[in-house]
Amino acid sequence: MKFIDKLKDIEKIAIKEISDSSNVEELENAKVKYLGRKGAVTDAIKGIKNVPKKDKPEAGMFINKLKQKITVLLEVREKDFRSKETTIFENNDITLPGIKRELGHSHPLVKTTQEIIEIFGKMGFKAVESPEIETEYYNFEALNIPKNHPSRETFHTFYIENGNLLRSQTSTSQIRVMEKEKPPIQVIHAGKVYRPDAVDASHSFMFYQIEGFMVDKGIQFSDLKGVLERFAKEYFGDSVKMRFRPHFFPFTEPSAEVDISCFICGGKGCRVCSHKGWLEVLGSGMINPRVFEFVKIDPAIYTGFAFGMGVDRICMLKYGIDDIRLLYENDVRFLKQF
Amino acid sequence: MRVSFDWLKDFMDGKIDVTKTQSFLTMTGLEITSMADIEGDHVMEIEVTPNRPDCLSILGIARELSAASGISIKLPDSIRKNFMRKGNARGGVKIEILDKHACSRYVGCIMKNVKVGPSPKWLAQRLNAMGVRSVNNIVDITNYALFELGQPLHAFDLDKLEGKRIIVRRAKKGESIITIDGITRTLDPNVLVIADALRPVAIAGIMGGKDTEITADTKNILIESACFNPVVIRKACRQLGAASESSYRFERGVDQAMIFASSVRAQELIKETAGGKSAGKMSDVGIGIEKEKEISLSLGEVARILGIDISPEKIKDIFKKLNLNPVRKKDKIFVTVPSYRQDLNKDIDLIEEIARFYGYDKVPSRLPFFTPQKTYQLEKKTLSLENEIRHILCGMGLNEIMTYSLTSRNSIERLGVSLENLVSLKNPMSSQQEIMRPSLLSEMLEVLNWNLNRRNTLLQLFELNKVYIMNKATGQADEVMHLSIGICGNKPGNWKEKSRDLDFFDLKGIIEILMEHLVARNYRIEKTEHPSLKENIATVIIVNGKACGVFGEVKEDVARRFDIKRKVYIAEISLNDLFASANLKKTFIALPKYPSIKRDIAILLDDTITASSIYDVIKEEARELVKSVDVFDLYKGQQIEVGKKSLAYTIEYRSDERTLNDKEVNDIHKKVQEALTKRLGAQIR
Repeated sequence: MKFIDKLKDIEKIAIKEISDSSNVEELENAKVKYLGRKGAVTDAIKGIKNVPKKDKPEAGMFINKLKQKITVLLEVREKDFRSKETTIFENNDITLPGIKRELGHSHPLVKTTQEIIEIFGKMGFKAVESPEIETEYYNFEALNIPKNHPSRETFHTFYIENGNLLRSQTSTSQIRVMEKEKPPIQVIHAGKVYRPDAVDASHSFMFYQIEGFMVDKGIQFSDLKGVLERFAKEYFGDSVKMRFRPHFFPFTEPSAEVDISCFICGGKGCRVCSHKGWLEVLGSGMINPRVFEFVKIDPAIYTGFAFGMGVDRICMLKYGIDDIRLLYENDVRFLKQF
Repeated sequence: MRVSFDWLKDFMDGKIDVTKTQSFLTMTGLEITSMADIEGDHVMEIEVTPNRPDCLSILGIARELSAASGISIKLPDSIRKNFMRKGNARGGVKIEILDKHACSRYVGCIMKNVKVGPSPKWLAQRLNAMGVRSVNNIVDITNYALFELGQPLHAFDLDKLEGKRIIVRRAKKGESIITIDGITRTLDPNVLVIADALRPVAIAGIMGGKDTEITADTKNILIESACFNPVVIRKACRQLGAASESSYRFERGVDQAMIFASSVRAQELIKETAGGKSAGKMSDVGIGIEKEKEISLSLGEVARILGIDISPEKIKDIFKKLNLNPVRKKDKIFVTVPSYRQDLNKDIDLIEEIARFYGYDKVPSRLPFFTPQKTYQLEKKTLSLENEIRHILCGMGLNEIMTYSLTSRNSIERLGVSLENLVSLKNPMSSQQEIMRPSLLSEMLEVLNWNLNRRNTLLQLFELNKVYIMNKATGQADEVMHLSIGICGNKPGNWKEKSRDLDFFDLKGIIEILMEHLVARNYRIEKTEHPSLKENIATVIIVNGKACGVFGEVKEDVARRFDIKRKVYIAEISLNDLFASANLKKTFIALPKYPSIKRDIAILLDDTITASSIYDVIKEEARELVKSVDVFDLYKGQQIEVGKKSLAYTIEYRSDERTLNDKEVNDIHKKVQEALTKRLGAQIR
């Protein structure tokens, strides 16, 4: 075969291949195949020295033209492909919506619990477990709520068929922990509690509580105040004020209910705080020596404080949710807001 | 309890306004929960805690206000003079107490020639403020005295009492009484009654009888002022389903020292409003007034509990305002507790009194010094794993739900799961909440349904929560942490991609990512049977040889029982076994040093051959040189023989020791092809 015919074959195949290529990658392969270091055209240039002298000028010219032709063709095809990409982007309309992935959301009650536990965690409180199904002893007796005592009146309780009950407050964890651990103790516990209350906008037969307590030598009421003030500032904001009001809980003495200044109206009075300027957020107090006696911790040596708060209520306050039922209906339009 | 501010002012020997009153009471522990204007009077709703029955009266509130404000208290003479008084058993009326445990004292007094009629305006107004309607002057006065002093009183029509005598006894079985509310009540010996010579005339401490009530014709009356055992009264209230202002106070305990005085006060007011005369001496039967108890307090304890040094003088001052008659002896203070403060028994009770009246706000705050424990036996070690699961699932676009643990038996039946070992409530409020759920799935389906009904079309949900199973061996209920996942609906399209319905493989993908992250390769997935899941695609997850969860498509009839007409895919995994095998401590594996080479392969083979058996053949043939096997196409239908499918794989080959060359890869790839042909009858396409 004459050298020039070989070149014409290369030309034919190359043009077809480049024209048939369907993407930039294939184009790139063709470029390497023909114009690359070991490519067909490059080979031909090297082979020109073996061509008879008279044919050399013609062959040389042909190769140059071929090289040019292929180069141009490659460029044209590449442009073709690139412009196709442009049409995918609809003429660079960056205002088209982005392609979004779904983002999942954890439940607001879980978020609230985690945030609260984290704050106390930073102050050294360890999260512990405690059962929901309890005995009368843990839910009442050891918490200084004797049978037939008026203080029991406030604790309506669900019982299960084996005589045990669904705890009505997370304070049961105080007894569970203090039976097992020796002071110094500083723990926090989050979990469900149950009370036979009809469901409405602010009541539920099941809700979440967080209980925290600390027992050691030298723990005082001022420590309780310090820890809770620190919590309130971290959780509700630096400007929040706190108020401790005397109250009664059988398992603490002195006991205090804790209000924070309403962060909606700044204490001026609004619908959320029933125009009082204060929001009740938790119950607390110094652990009653009677409770220490039940768990065999000597109240003459050790003192401690305890506090408990309703997660649902704090969650509702924090996010401005006005109906507790929303928390348990789980409408995704609700869940996606948190 | 409701408190009229006008009435309260009667007891204060000095001026005080309502705003100050509100603040004093709230900050010493009597929280004012609401306030109303009734006929120009400020009526406060005060929360009285169960330890303070002495505050269930205007007088009781006045005492607290006096201690908080420093304004002394002003008492009517009739009360001041008769406080702590015990009369003689023999008086104008014969009284017999047959159950001294249930009734420790009974004071009876006769008044003659009273004129029953409407109450004067001031009386009706005060009762109205307290939320009680006016009946007649006599009944109103007994109520008035109850609110004012906390001692419940009852007036009988003396002429209707058989034998004009009072017997306090247990009811006999089968006895009955029509109470003043018109209800006939059948009694038994659990109930304490006030009887005349023949029959019960009142249910002690709870309600009087219709037969002997004060009517317009009543001329002569008997006024009862007594003390009944709180537990006896409480039990009778529960049994009879009856309660009253009187029983509310008896259940919590009344003040011994006020029983006699209250009767005198009532007589005084009756004379004023209804005329009449007290006839004969008051009869006062039962035990005398207990000696006031003494408690001591070491001064050092105050600072140990409260964290503030309060001077002994200040402490004595507070105690004085509380009528505790403090006496200091060295580093101790001794107090005498008035009869109405049954809540003060120990030094800690006194420390609380100091704190209340010193002011909680004056106790400084400090952050305690923490001594961390090395470990806690009850530490919640699974917390980080739960949070890890949450992160993974939220990251994949799932939303977390929280549902009630109490469910209906019907819900569990609809699910089709076993009704054995359920934890059921003895006193449920309704059949909707009678069982502690044994599975998270029924609530998951309820929530899916709730959302579908609200046209929320893309649902990818999960819940991490407890289930409850009665453990027959221990007789106790076990609480087990579970994870449920539910997906359903349509993944909406966009201008680049088409929309499509979520299906089994979306759920499987979620499970696989989760399991690979938590237990790496230590799990496998197999077919199983499950009452809620469609046959043939019910799947079990096995971790280290233990079944720890199921997933699949919900059976159509099960879904329909939850009103769901769409296809739904659910999973439930018990976390206990998963926790045991989970390993979040990741170890770094060196990145590959040598490049990998990918080869595609398309095969045509029988539809019955599973992807996992194809994987196994590839793996067995190429062994450790295979790094990944991905299915990138699956086709059935036209152009393909019936009963066959076309599958396309990308296989990644790599050696950990050297760079594989083309020939090596071609050889091994050819071996894989041959094995697929020989062992599975695959045609290479």
